[in-house]
Amino acid sequence: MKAILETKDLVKYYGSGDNLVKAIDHTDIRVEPGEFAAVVGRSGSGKSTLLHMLGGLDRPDSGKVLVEGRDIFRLKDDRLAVFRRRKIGFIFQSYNLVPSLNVWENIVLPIGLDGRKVDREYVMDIVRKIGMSDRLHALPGTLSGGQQQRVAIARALASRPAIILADEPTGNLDSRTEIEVVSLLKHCVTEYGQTLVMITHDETIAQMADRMIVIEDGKVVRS
Amino acid sequence: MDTGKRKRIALAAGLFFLTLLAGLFLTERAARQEYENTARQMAALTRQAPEEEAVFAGILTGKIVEDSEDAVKAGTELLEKYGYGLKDSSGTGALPGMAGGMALILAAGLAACAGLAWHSMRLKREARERADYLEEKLKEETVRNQKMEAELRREEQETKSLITDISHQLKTPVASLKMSYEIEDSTELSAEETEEFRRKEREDVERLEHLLQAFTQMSKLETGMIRLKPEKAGVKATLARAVAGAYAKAVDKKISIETEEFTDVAVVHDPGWTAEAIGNVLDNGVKYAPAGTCISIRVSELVSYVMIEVEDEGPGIPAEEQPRIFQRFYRGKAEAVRKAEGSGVGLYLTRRILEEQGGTVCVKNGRTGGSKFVITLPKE
Repeated sequence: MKAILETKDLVKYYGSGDNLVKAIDHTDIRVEPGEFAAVVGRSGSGKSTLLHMLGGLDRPDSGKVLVEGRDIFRLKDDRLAVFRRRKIGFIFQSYNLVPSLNVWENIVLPIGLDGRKVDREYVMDIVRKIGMSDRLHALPGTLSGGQQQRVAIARALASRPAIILADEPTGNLDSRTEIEVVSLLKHCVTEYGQTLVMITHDETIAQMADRMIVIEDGKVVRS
Repeated sequence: MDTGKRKRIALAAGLFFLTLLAGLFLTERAARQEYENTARQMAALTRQAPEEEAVFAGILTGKIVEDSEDAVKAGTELLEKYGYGLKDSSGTGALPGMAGGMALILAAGLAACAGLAWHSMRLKREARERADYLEEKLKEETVRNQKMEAELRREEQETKSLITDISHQLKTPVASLKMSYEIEDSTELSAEETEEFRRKEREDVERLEHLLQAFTQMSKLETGMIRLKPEKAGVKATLARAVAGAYAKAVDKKISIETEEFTDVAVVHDPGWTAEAIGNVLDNGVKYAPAGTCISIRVSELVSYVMIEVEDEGPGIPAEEQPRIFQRFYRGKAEAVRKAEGSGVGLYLTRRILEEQGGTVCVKNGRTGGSKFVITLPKE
């Protein structure tokens, strides 16, 4: 099958001389469409940097990131931003919800930014799946961590991106909520045919993935 | 689409005719005004000098024309003498009315055109969005199909190789049994030797039994074998079914299975297959945990899921192997696992049955060094 997400000889170093950190060191990974891949590694192993490159949030020193066969870093910044909004949904450890917007407004925000019309039926379907249909008017501040992460998941899914990138999505949650959130995430991406790349240091969570990509010192040691 | 096009053409033609009609009306009105002006002038002139009637008529109708520069000059001088300039002329007569009317029509026409263009652009945009949406939907479907196809192909390949493998494994105990019986038939054995042979034979039969069980489990993997019939049913009954399946083996090994009290929850699932999925986890615990230990089951309700935890007091699973035990045909590397017969299908089947129902399974380290399997099933 053709890869939906691919890196070719990706390199990103920080600092110089004695302080040189090889965050990503000639890394090649490949993710197939519909796959749930877990990127596992200790903190500081370069996995977050890798996710930022995959999502076009940060430019590499050299190498390529191909999304659906297209080199995303050949796009200009503004075009890259549009591409990112359409193709990629992000889920972060710290939820990153807008505190002054309610649950529904947060979920449809990226669609609005893109000037597209909200497919209410589809978004409501997601909202029902994540079990937030009775909290649509609540503000993020009044929700628990688990609930906020559910909203963040819905937001990432709502704009129908082909790829979901999740950076330690359960890092701030207790173990029961963690299991629940990952179950939800897995279920949703399967349902909607999306591709999920999730970064985690927790191997339990990684078990639920179709495949594990283990990163050490910026290099893929097992995949 | 076709009727829409026709409608648009009809609308444009209607507008055109309307414009034409308004233009004609304005022209006609201007002509009448001009004619009335001439009549008024004729009447006024004739009243002043009735005898020059024919000359005035000639001038006003354009039959008598002073066709020279001097005439224009002389006339202009005369008119200006009485304070009538070019400016005053443009304010009278039919001209302003006509020009104003025309401008109005033009503006209205332009506005209508702009409106139409905007409307059609919006229609086109909507159509494009719809097309994009359908294309994405199609892509989702394609991805799902491709994934399934690839999975099926791989599955087929792996199943074939495992069948070959187990078939080979079957030969060993059969050959060993055959040899045992032949020796027993042909040789006089001491009581001690007979006992030794019996023990060996029982082991061989057990081994055969395990291999056969592996075959049965594998047959369930065959395409389309797992047909889930989800229904809303209590978790308690399903769990009871799973425990009942593992009970006999557990009693044999003096392992107790205890379930913590919980309030029953109804979830949409296939009770039969789900019981099999949980049963495989229990079997696994019974198989590897030492005699006299306990397997405890705990059920708790999460927001959108029911969580079932199965914890044993067995040897546990090394961290590096944990992600792999749910892979098809994966067998643990530990000595105890190597010795026990198995196909590596059970836990894979568990994962597949649960995931097909929107649930998950994973394994953690238990509190006593054993394994804790965590199963989730969606409530809806």
